[in-house]
Amino acid sequence: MKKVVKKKGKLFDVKLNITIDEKLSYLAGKVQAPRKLELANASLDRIKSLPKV
Amino acid sequence: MKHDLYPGVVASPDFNFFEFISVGRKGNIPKRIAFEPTKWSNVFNLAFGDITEDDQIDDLNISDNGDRNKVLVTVVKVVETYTEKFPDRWIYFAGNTEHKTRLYRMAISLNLEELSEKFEIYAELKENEAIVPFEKGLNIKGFFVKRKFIKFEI
Repeated sequence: MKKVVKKKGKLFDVKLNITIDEKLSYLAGKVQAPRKLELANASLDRIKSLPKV
Repeated sequence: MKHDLYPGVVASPDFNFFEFISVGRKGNIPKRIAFEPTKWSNVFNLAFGDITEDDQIDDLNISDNGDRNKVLVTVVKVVETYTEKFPDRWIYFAGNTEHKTRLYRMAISLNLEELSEKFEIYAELKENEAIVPFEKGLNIKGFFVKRKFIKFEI
């Protein structure tokens, strides 16, 4: 019986096409998920620094 | 596994906002990814979810549109693009439910070898909130990722 080997595709070989859309300029500076941002800031309050990489 | 993603991603000129349409069994659902500045100038919070009627990100809704992997791959590719432009920035993200955080942890674990080629990946631990290099099986509260500095040898 022939063994089937599933080959995993490479994530970074997939290309993403991005178009810049001036119409999204109005979003600049607007907080989109305030609760999430609050939690992120709370996490940063608890840690002193991030690893130096 | 083939890594399908959504074509037609649009970005704001400052590269802090990205949008695409999820297409699936529940219809067409507009999605937005935002990289929001935090109180630390080098850390940006990744917010992601459906675009609500009042033009915010709803990151609590579970779309159940049958395209979870395609959406995740698209988000990862956006992070890749974003960190290519801003390699000094750390990206912080966390699921707002246990289920979502576990999903992110599993997705990273499954692709850890490849992701580690390009990213520094750290985990914020649940038990003591320490920041440690990501490993499979950790009890994680949030994630910090940053573009890896690659040294070219001539």
